[in-house]
Amino acid sequence: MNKAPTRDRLSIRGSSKTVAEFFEYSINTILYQRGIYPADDFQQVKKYGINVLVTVDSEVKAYIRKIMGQLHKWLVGGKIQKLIVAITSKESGEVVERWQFDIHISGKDTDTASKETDTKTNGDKKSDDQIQQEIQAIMRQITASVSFLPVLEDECTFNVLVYAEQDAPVPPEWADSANREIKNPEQVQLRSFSTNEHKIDTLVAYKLDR
Amino acid sequence: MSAPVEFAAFEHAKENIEPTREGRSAASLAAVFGNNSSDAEPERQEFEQRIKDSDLDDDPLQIWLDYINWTKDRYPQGATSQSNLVPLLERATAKFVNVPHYKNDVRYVRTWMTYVKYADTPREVFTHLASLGIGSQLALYYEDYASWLETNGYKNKANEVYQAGLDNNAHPVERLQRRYHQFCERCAANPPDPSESTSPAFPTVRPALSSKFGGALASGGAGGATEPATAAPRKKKLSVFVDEEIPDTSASSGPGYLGTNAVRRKENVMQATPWAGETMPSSSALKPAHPKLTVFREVQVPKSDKKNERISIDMDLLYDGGIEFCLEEVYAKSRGLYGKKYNARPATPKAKTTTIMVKDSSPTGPRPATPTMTLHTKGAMDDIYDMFNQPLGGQKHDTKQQNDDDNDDDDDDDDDIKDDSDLDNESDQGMHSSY
Repeated sequence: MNKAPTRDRLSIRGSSKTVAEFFEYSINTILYQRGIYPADDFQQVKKYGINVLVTVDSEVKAYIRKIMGQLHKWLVGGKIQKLIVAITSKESGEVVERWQFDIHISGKDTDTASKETDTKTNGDKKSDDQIQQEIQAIMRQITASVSFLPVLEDECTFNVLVYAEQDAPVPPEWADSANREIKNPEQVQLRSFSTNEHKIDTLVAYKLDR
Repeated sequence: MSAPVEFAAFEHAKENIEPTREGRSAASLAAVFGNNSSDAEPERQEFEQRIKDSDLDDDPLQIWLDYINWTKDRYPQGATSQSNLVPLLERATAKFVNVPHYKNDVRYVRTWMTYVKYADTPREVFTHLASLGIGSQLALYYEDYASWLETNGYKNKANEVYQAGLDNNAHPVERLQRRYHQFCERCAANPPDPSESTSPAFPTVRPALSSKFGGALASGGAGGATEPATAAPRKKKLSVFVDEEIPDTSASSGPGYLGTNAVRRKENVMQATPWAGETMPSSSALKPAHPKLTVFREVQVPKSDKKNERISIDMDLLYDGGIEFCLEEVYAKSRGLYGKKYNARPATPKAKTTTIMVKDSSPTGPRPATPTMTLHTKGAMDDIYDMFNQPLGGQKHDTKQQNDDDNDDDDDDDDDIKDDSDLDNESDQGMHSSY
């Protein structure tokens, strides 16, 4: 009986790691595809069975790493609901694009429910390959989204916003923020992926300027 | 806020979506690539009808823009023959080219900028617009022109265009300034090619070239006047394309008319004719042409023909007694040399060690019957090592001994002395130990 929670704990850790890693690569992909930083700042790496471009700029890298470190802690604690990458025009200060990742935690209910899901998930445990395939499909969609997203002509920057629980411990670098919605946006729902503990939905909202 | 559209609804067609500057509506993409997309023709007819009726509108441009936007949404592939986008843009831009209050209407200039993307000769379109003064008050025009010049390697000209825009106070000035600033930064990082041509970015009004920039500048029209003087009955080397007289129904051919893509390349369009009885003109190239140069051929080698091959050998000799012999063996047999054994020469002369008997009364034990030298070599090695291990006073002697190997037999008390250097000794030792 004592063994079950430790294993559960482990699988949450592993799942959180997968999810945090996914955020890291997807943010890098967004930064590259949307031209937030010059293309020279990126380097190709093999990940999820495809080539992913990752920034080599040390400052951006450190910034993303720092966010991911904190994110991982929140994920393990189950304190996080949404991650948002808001792309903001430097010139107008307006949010022009908003990538939203919804995080659903499957095992976070009452005790009995969690046990139920636990046994259920144990029954059809997802293999790592399967998860990789799902993430790969999302990466491809992020890349393909340039076909309908507007060209970001202004110089842009990005912010990472997090919707966390009230009681989540927040390090001093994180400040409260508005939710940075886009008024009257076009929204596209990308694919989802799920690990045994988490399910991530991806959505991009953008402004159509006609 | 509309409900989010599933990417999966149009993901299968993602390669068929042309990215545009202003983006595309995901909802309309999903509608177009969905299963139940309706026929486009009725809608198109409706737009055409509205355009016919639009002449009395306050803002006739708007209906054109709606039509263009509809086309863009309906045909995400961009300018295809089905979408009819380019002809539509040509019609729309040509329609209002002489309407003064649209000259600096951002919507109208934007339509031009969309058209430039598909035009064969973007630069001509830009200069044409400059000569007509379209967009001269809008930063959009200068930004687009400059960025086109920049990407095509005319950085100095791009600079000129930005300057002109700032001089004209093109709206919005702040954005133009910011863009110019960014451009200057890029130039500083990546300076322009000094060999870039220095012709001006904007057309200067030169009467001789006025025809090139459309009728707006053509007031003289004397350009073609010199032609009859030289009209000698010379044989034509090049057939000059002559326009067929087709009465134009559209708004074209007035002053300020740039012409459509199709009009500009009309010289390259073949008239459609029935194919019956047509001959392919290129077939002449396939005929064997007369050789200009006779190629030398060797006469005495008719070997290439297989039938002439002859073997003038008595094959029986080669297969004597069921065994196959080669020609050399046959030759050797004829001279009685086949199978003759010669005395084998001693192999490896280098590895051979010569022993010199010294007529000395040094104590020698019974020599081993076999020429195993290991013991003796070992003894010799020990002696040599002893020499090296002598105190310092004997060093001079040592070096001397090493230098003259030939003479070292007199101070050796061994029976068998090698006349090789000690390096060879070592190799000898190695060789023997492998026996």
